[in-house]
Amino acid sequence: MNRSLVVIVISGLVLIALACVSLLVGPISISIIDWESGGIVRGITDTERAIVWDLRLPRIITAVLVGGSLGVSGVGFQSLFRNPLADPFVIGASSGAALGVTLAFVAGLEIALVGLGATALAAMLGAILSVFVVFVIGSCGRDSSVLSLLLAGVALSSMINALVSLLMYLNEEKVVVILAWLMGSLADNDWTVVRVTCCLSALGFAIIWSLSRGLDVYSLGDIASQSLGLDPVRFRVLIVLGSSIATAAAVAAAGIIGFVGLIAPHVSRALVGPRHVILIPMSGIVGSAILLVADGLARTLVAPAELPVGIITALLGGPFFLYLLKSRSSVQGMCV
Amino acid sequence: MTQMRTDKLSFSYASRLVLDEVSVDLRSGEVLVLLGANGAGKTTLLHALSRQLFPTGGAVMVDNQDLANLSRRSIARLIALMPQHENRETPLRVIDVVRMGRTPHCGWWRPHSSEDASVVAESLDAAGMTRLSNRIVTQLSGGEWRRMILARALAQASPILLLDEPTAGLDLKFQFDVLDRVRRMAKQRDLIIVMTLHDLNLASIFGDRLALLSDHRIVAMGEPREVLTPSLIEQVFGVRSTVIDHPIHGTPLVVTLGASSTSKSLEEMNVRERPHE
Repeated sequence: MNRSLVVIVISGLVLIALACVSLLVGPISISIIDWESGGIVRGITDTERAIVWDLRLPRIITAVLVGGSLGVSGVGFQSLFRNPLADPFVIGASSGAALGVTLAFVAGLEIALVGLGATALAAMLGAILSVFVVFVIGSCGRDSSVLSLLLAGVALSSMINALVSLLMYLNEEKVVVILAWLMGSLADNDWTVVRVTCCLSALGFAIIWSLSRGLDVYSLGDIASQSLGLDPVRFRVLIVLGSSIATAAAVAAAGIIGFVGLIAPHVSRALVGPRHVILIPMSGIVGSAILLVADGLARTLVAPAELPVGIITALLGGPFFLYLLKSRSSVQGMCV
Repeated sequence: MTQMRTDKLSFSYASRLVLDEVSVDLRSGEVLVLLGANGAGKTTLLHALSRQLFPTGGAVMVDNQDLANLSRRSIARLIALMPQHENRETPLRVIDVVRMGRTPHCGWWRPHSSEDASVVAESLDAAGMTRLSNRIVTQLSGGEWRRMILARALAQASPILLLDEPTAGLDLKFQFDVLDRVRRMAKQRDLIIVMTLHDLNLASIFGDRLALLSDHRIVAMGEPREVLTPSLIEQVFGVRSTVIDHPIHGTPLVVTLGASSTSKSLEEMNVRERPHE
């Protein structure tokens, strides 16, 4: 436990350092050190303050919250399915969000609620609704199994993806904006989005972290967890609830960002082991760090233009995940 | 003194009947061994006793309370089950797994108290696992893993312990080691212990009473000498045997002579061969 705490504290400090560096990196480089005058620390101009305060800081905090939410919900879904290949989008959250956003774009919705725009609301609602439908279909009967949930998720996702394709096919003029959203982006997030994402992320994290001891027991299988006083069917409802809220927070703020929720739990398991009380916050920190780095790259690689951050996470995450699978050490703890 | 009884307990998987009106009465401090051929319903009976499975008829009563009216956590405080299989891939430490036995008492949030810590330490000691408490589960041998699960079940501190084939996959030394510990704990802690076994002679040595399951029912229940008779063994297992006294323990010792069907066919062969002599 002591070693794990040290690792988590160091990782937290690394995350803060990354966030500080991210504040200064972008199409306009900001330096607090005046190299021409011999390396003395200087103040920043009003323009630089506006860039940092109004643009970069909300974006960086959103990246931390979204990455953290994806990392935490990744642990939730991998634990739920006792499967290391599960991620926040495995039971239909991403396809549901995609359908919600596509419908919002096609219908030209222009509503806003608690600071969230129509697309963010539609994404959140779509993600939660699809997870709910999958859960109801997959949990029919008292003997509902993890496998039936997974299969229901796959079936519903395929159906929804077909619907999204149909809507895009029928509305050609909206295809570009829909695709841009589907590829994920942290641009255009202001302090209102930060506040809403913060509340939802904190709620999702609190629910999942409070289940830590139960998740350790649940990892042993349904028979062992029942004999230790845990009702696996009811427990699955709580895991899905917490994980879906965290996923919805991420989707509403940044669209669909793959791989973070898959990789962060694996890296964290290799660093601090399988006990959920440490694993869940660690996965949050790792998810935040991954998304911060990916967003930094998205902002700078083709500056002043910007790449969708979802493309960066997939490009970097794929090979890294293959390396992890090859090393196997992080996969220990889950039935493959 | 805890009492456990089942009243005409029945269970079916869809339309397939597995238990048909099984009634047993269990007393504190005794070890009941369930015996029967593969598929006789031994594990199903254990799971129905712990409400892992919901009976399709009848009831399980503990101290005159119907388990159907109790929460999962309350049942776990009364009954600990040592399952035959569970996920062994999670690289937790032995002590972390044994601590899980305190979950029915601590719930999900309350930190472990000093009392919990001492129960865990006692359980590790009783199962002979103290030395291995910091070992990673994935590095344990089959025997060590079973003793760890036994320690976890003991840490539940419940008056009823259900063990599903506790000796499966163990070598002879560990079989005797585990069963000896179980029997001593039943006597010392006044526990009700119900376990399934395949070895009739181990059942005879370590069981106070044996129950023979066949055709979805208990066909015989009583002390080993009453149950382990050649005719009952042939009826339940389809094996011819003779029963002698164990030279050390004095318990019935079953010596198998061969499967009934094989023996019959040999006889038939002899009969057919005679005309040619």
